[in-house]
Amino acid sequence: MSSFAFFLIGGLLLAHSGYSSYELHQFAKEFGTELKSIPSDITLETIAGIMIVVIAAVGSINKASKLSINNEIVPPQNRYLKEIEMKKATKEHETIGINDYQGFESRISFIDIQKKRNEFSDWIKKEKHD
Amino acid sequence: MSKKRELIYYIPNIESNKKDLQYVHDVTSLTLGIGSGILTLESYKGFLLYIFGYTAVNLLFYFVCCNKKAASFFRKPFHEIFLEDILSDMPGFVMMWCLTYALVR
Repeated sequence: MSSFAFFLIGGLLLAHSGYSSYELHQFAKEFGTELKSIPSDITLETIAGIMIVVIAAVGSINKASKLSINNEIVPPQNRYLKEIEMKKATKEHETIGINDYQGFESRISFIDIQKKRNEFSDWIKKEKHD
Repeated sequence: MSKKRELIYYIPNIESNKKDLQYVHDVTSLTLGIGSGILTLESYKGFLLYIFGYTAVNLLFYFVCCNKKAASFFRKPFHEIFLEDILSDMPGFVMMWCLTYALVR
């Protein structure tokens, strides 16, 4: 959310400085004057806009915390990037309890829910009888 | 027998880091293109702005995102962060440069 605000501010600054530059060039064209250089306020605004957008881009790649299988919030190991060494990368999976390929391993969309529920209710009934 | 330890890498995290770096590089090159178009830079000045701006952003990435330990996030840190994409991002930069230059002028 905060990076969105930064993107917005930077974009507005760039748009404003672009419009100022456009007006300046139109003015120069209209009166036939030769522009020697861009005024320093437009330059500064452009540089500020570029810097804010870039900071927003760098800040927006941060990683969110994850919910572990024990219902605990696990913060990411590093705020921005992920460890590439196998032993460090899998440490996070162990604390969370699932890995990146959990979707392929458990195949949620292929589970026959009704069959599973029937099996469970049969088992419950059997337990109650015993 | 060599005592050098062989590192085993986790490929999905390498891909994820590369994607993040690529995103930062894309945004940087397009924004620098917009900037140099607004400032109506011409010839080598625009490319100088690109090279300096790009390197500055890479340094920011190195110090903020990698926390000065780039070797634990990239296999070839210096090459991947600073050199690899500088030429392949240049067409995007030139495209935005031309577009904003034509709009402003």
